[in-house]
Amino acid sequence: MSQDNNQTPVKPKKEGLMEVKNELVNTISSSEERAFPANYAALSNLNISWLYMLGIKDKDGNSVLMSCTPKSVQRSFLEMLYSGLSVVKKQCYLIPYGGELTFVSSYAGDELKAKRDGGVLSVIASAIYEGDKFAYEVEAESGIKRIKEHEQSLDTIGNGTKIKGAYCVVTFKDGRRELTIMSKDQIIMSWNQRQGQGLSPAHQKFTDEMACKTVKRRALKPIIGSSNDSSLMEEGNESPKGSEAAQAVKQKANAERFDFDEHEEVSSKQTAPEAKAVAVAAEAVQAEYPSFA
Amino acid sequence: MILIVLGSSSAGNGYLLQDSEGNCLILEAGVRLKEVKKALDFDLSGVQGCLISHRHGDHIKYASDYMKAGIDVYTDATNGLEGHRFIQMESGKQLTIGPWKIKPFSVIHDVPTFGFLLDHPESGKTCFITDTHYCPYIFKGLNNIIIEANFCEEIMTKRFLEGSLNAVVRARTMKSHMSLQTTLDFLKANDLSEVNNIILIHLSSGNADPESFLQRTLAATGKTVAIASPGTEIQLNKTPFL
Repeated sequence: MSQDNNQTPVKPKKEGLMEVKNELVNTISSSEERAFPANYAALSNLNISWLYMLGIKDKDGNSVLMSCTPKSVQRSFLEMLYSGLSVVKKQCYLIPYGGELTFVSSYAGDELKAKRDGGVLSVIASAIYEGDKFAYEVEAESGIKRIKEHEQSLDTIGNGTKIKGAYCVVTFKDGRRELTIMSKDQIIMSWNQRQGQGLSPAHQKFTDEMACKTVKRRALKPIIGSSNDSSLMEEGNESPKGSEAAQAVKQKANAERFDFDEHEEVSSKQTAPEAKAVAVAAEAVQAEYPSFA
Repeated sequence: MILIVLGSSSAGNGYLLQDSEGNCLILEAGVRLKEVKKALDFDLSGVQGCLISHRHGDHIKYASDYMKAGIDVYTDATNGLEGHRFIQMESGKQLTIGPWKIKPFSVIHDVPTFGFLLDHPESGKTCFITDTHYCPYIFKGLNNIIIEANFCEEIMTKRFLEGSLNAVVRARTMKSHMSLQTTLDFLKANDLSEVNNIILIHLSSGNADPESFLQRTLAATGKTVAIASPGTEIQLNKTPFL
């Protein structure tokens, strides 16, 4: 595969790419207050993510920012920024699907969102290995699941590939706990939903770790789905630019008196009859010589 | 005095003020000279000049055609016009053009932009405000108000959520044009006791609802309200009884 061949056809898109970046910067810097979650530096995240994504190549060796449609690049970056996630920290991925850059939250991004928006204090996942002693119960009245016992040793862990299932305990800030359990079959079924299907080398070699990520995602999905926008509503979360703009209207609009000068000035450029004569002359000239001037 | 609207949108802005003696002041050069000529029955001899608020195409595009036709064009020095028909205008610097007394003021757009305070014996004191986030000023004893009401925040947000409005366009519009609410706040802040007409101009084609803008302005002010659209002609006098 020759680099030159790949780069020639994408060159004309380069200008469009700068436009997309500039538009994004404009959007961010002119976004209204509370557009972004607290403690999220949107502009610097845009810049560092942009640099990071410039280095990401698609399967043909082209920069994904160049090979995807500018609209999809803009949209996926905005989705990332408004979700308050970072592609550099792997809280989300910007993935090219059929020439469209697509925003996908990662399990780490899900955890961040659940903690930020869903009142979650901690998210702890664990694999259940084949030799583990594991028992849980379901409280009939409430449907709440509870682990009765989980006994594990280094021997049962082994190389980490022989699992029976995995579970995730989500502890909320108000002390509630939620347990999500997935059997090995459920986990593998969810892996088979992947793009390209089947198990990647990571799934085959680090089965327990990947299973933990999967069960975490399942546990957090309904929490994120049912969260509100409180992270955008916290005090002190106004983005400085936005609040400045809003305050400008409040403070500066209709504030100052404006009127004609007290004394009549005499800076008239020409009198009405002069103007009339000139206009008539110009009309005549234009009519006679259409290409004049 | 009559106000003739030739265009009042991002497709092109042009307004003619014509007094009973045939003197004409053109506001903005965003419509073809042909349209100006048609409206003036192909007689440009009464034209005293053309004021241009800022350098965006829908306001300045045909300025050089106007200048070639012998019309003095008044605007900011940074707007790329030159020649003996170009006359520099500065914020706060009063000038007289024919029977009009004019004092430009700076407003809040993404390029340097003027609003105009106009005075003419027939129409009295008139302000012309377009393409601004808000108006920093209030005026005393206005007789007529020509002011932008570009968008309705609710309509724009709805379109944005539906996906039919680009986020960038929305963000820019919100900071460089007047929402109906900002316009109404301006009207409330000013003494309207001597106001005869309120003319809403530069309504966005997608983000505004002319009928509801009219009703809401009417309800807020109790004045004669009109929406500017190409072809609109409005009697712009000091009192309705002239």
